[in-house]
Amino acid sequence: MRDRREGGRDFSSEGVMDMARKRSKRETPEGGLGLKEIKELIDLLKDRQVAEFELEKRGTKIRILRASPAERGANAPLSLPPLASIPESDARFAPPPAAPRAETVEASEDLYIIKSPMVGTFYGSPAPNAPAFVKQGDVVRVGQPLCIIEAMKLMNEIESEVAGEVVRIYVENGQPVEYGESLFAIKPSHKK
Amino acid sequence: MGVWEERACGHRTLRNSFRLGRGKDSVTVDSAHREPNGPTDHRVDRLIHLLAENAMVIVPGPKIASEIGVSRLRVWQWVEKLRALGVDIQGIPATGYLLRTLPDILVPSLVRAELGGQEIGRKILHYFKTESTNDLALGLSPRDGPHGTVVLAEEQTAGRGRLGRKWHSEKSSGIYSSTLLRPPLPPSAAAVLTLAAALAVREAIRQTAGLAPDIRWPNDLLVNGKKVSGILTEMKAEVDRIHAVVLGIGVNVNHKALPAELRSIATSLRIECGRPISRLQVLAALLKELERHYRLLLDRGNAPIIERWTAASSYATGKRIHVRKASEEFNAVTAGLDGGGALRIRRDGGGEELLVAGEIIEVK
Repeated sequence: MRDRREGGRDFSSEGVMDMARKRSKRETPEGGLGLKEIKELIDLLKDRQVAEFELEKRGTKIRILRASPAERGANAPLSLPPLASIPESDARFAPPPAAPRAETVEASEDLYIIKSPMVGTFYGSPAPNAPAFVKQGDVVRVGQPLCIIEAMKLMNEIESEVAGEVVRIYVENGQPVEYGESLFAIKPSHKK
Repeated sequence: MGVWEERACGHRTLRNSFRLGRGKDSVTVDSAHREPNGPTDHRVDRLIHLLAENAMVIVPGPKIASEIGVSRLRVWQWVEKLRALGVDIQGIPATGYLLRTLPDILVPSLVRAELGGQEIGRKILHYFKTESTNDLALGLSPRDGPHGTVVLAEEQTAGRGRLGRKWHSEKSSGIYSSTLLRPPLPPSAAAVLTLAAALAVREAIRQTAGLAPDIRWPNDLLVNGKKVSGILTEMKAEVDRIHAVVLGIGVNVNHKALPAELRSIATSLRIECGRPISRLQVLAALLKELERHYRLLLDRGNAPIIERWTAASSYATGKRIHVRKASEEFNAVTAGLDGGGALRIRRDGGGEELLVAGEIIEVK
């Protein structure tokens, strides 16, 4: 995910990896990707206008570099459709228990993903006509409210667990979310 | 000029001025002062307690002053304020004060006296006036707001409902309460608490007013089709751990009439029973039932709550409803609750689906 630093075109490696996992249901038993899966992955990256993608998994390393920035589309949409149909806990799509490698460590440090702690409805603002808690590009502090998830009139205010910039909002107002679904990607302001 | 100064809760220190009418029995709140009051001075609580213990007996002013540790002037000021809230205190010149009837004010000492040793209500914070008891409860640290803390207000200036809607919070007519729980549950299991709370309110109303409210999913209490209680639950949690769940429970108790715009959808216990109901008794029953249903949930899981809810609500099965979600509206028929309390519905012309969040109303 080298393009994450290109202004405004950040993608969380996690979101894309989730998609890769979910799209490639026919993974080989060894966990590698077949030609068909790679084709699918490329289509997916095209669809989403992801410029560069790298995945390393059980000894197989795949790196996809797409055309020049001009061809990637300057107005790349940053919100992805929900991936709610496949629960995160499904073992078939669980991330591989691989030893942490430099790439993945760097990725998880770069973007902090806020996930939904429960099934419910996502609200980006405290009331229907009120301004949103946050928008993309906002800098948030620890404990700042980001959204509300409602289940059965239980309103769960989700606060940011890190200080940093909101680089991506994965869901839209009023949309249903699943347990563990990614809600926000935050780029922490201080690296350790 | 009297100045009512109270210790504010937490980080804000607030003052509120009261003008005392010279020679008259009137106390008016300085309306220019918009900020909420702090919690009720515990000495006011003791004053009421003292008068209540000696109801129908004249208690000398100096005795009250020395027992609660304030000046005689302050005692007089507080008595004036309590009178303004409807407490029936007779002042007898040069002698003392007489409480003619037990006050229906939800001060901690009176509430706690009804509760025994239970966890819910072990700590009670009372406000004569505040913006929202839920906001106060959510803002309490674990030290200031241990599990079971209850925040009460005689009046809310910004009582809230779902999605920023207003909750009509007329002075001393309703119960405006927030119960703070710190349950050992994952956030994903907390939603059933909203059903347990509805059962607790229903039981409290049954015991004190003799009414058997219907429950509209998930937790509106209706008498003759009109709302008598609403519950807004707010949670602070991490992915796997709850910091706090606040059950904001409003009950319309002694409203003689509701504002015109609410009359077709809301009612009060007094309107339905035709007699005034003790708010103190309703609240005490509510807190006892909350404790009982909370323990039931922790000890035996969702099943008994779901079962009782289903037995108590006409909305559980076979009810024609209109569903209003953030994204769409449609008609459906109810088909029971799932194991987590979500409502199974059959959409007109569609299959069965699960309603997790949204508003429903009966289609007649």
